[in-house]
Amino acid sequence: MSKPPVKVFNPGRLLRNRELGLSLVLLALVGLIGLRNPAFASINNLQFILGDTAIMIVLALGMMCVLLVGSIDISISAVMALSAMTAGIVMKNNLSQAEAQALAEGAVSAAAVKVSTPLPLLLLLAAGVGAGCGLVNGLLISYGRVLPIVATLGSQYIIYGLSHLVSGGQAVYRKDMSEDFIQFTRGSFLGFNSKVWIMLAAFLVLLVFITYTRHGRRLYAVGSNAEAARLSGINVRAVTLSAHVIMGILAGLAGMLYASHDNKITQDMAMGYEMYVIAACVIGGVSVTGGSGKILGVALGALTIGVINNGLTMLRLTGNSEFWKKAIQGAVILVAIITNVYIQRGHERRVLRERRL
Amino acid sequence: MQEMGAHPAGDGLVLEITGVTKIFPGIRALDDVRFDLRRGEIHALIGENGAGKSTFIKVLTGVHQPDSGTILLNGQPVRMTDPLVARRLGIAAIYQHLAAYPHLSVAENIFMGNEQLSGPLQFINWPGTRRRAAALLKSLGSGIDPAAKMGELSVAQQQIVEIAKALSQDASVLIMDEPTAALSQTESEELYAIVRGLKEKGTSVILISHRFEDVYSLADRVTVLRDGRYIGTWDIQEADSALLVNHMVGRSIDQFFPQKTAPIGKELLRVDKLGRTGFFSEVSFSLRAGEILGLTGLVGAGRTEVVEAICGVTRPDSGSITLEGKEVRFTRPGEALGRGLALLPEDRQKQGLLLPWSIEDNVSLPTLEACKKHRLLSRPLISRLGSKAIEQLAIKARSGLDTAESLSGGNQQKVVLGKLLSSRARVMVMDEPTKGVDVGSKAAIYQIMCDLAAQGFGILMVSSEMPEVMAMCDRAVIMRQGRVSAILDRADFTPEGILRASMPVERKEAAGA
Repeated sequence: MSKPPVKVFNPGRLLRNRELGLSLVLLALVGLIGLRNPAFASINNLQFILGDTAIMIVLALGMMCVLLVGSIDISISAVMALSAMTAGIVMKNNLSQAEAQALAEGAVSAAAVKVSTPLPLLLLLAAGVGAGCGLVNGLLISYGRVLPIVATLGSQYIIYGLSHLVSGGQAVYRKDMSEDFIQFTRGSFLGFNSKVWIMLAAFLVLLVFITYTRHGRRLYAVGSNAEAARLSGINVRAVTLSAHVIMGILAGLAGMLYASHDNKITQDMAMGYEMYVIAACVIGGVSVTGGSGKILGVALGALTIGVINNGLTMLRLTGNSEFWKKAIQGAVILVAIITNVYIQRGHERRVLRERRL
Repeated sequence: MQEMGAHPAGDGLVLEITGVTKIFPGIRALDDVRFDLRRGEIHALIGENGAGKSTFIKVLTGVHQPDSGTILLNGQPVRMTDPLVARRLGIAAIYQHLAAYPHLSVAENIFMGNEQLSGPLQFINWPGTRRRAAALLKSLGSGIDPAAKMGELSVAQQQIVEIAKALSQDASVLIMDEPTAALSQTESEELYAIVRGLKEKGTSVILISHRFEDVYSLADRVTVLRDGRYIGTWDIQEADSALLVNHMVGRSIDQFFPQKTAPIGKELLRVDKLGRTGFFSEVSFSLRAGEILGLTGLVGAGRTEVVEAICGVTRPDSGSITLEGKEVRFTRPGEALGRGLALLPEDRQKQGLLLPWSIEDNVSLPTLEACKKHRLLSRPLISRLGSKAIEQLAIKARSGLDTAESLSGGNQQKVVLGKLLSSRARVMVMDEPTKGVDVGSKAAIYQIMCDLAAQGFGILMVSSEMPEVMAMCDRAVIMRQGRVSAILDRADFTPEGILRASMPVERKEAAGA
């Protein structure tokens, strides 16, 4: 046992590099769809896809944290709606005051630029609401010992209910939004949409958190072997709780991006979005039983879904039928996941065969 | 037996534990246990399954809080309120299975919970982590790559990583739980050398082991626990194995194991060249009516995998199974049961019982067909089955309506046995039937097995406990690394012979993998 391990070149290792494999799949998809419709592979469209997928990536980063500790959160679209709605209502209320004030002062140009609560404050508010939802989910799961899927299934409906309560049954429209907020997702820098930059910032923060901080590594430890983590003095419950809070904050932020992008906040905004996000994580190689997953993989997984979604529209395979589009999306996601499972199984079988009896 | 008073307190004693009691619902896991550990001593703690060794360790490492008792560390009373406290005090434990993070790297496994940080933001210093990990491993004479994935190492290598982890925390007391359970002879000897090295540096070691070989080659003293009680402590020179076994079992072996007199009849089960890729291959043996056939070997030798393949839990890739003269191939355990082959699984709580269900519901589960009246299940028939099992197996319960989880380990195992009996199977496959069962229930289970054999059942018993195999079995099939290494008749049973056949043979190619 004390002999030094022999390092041999192992082609299986390379094949098992999921990020590489996924990048190839992604390139192949872009190439294939591009062959059918060259407009798809245009720089413009690819930038558009990236911008479109940015929100999904932000959410997938949070979902990865939750999945790493062996939990799951299916309430995220409700959290997005509640966070955006809360911030939206505040914005709407303060907006009318700002306008009235401007008119009273007799300023001519004031009516043209709508002002309201500063955007950073709104973002903070949304993130706070999201964090609150994550905290409740996390408490239910880690201290209440409720099964994650059940806890977040239940909280999802409660959060949608709260969203309805906050909205008073009304949606927030473009006319209720400050100019800052409307422009939030419309700016661009170096050719990339501001959503892409925000996503990149979140990506980098999470990357550092998960690779270089104690707490980040403990997410892996808890998911890899909770009992061992407990025995080595890691507070498993607190770590699980924190993963849900991170998810909540990112969902709050993503809700604001989504609302600004859509120019509209409804109480059931983004309904069903959680499935894309979970699928992105799974395609990206995050284990749903916890303990393993890479942040780059998650981003690639989300991009794969983004490319599929956009590609299906560009190919016009399904006419205008949302129904068929969804069905094909689902099928493609399943195929991607099943392929992954088979690759994994094939690897395990190879390992078994290599064992000498 | 030596008394505690023989050592003046504080004089070279690192740990002194007195009167420790830990009660779990329904059991006194530890009852007034004492234990002491000298500086630079290796003190073995032995006892049968369920004797309270693991609970004792968990109390020492702060995982469980004792209900009463005192722990003195270097003469000072300490309270281990959680594992972190124990670690800060320099007590580290190497658990048998559960301590590793298979998804993470070796370096990270070593420093998890004790991360190497640097910079104003206290980020993890990865190069430093890997360097320190490599240095620690090197100090143990090992060249394991710190960047390797823990889950891809051999058990022996993982064991070394765990020791490195304990060293990284400057542990003065090291607790090792069954460190050699899955190691080959050479690997064990290498581990012994490492542990002796630690001892020379002044580390005190508590060694828990089933293998007397470990105890005799390492320990200075040995303490025996039985049924959660302290039995005694001996210097290793004065403790011969017969004495230890007697104290572990609580009576002399001949009184403990029933006399088996069942006549051996015709062949019931025949396994021929059975194989399952990656788990076992070319396994052949036969089982006759009235016979108790042992299937033994080290942990990981493939015993459980073999019986699972026989009983249809998994499917073999090659070979054949013949049951009462007919070749069979089961795709699920229910099918095997229907043909007269019943399995008592290794983990009774997860695989053998529905814990929240009542005794009678558990017992009747395999034979619900027989409990029907007018095509519907009949409560009275189910109850009758339950009462019959309680009476026949002397299950300690108020009625058949008691839930399985309310019973002690031994009685739970009897309920699983009740399931097998109600099924009218002819061949019983029992995987570690006395694991985690108290001594009284053990004797009862042995008696039941002998009675069953006398009634013409064939019993295939998987067991890791040497005394059990030697006393109960007519023949023993010994497995090593997925293959049958020997089949011994009762007359040829010797502990050395069984151990020799169990020990893995070294392979040059396997060394680095």
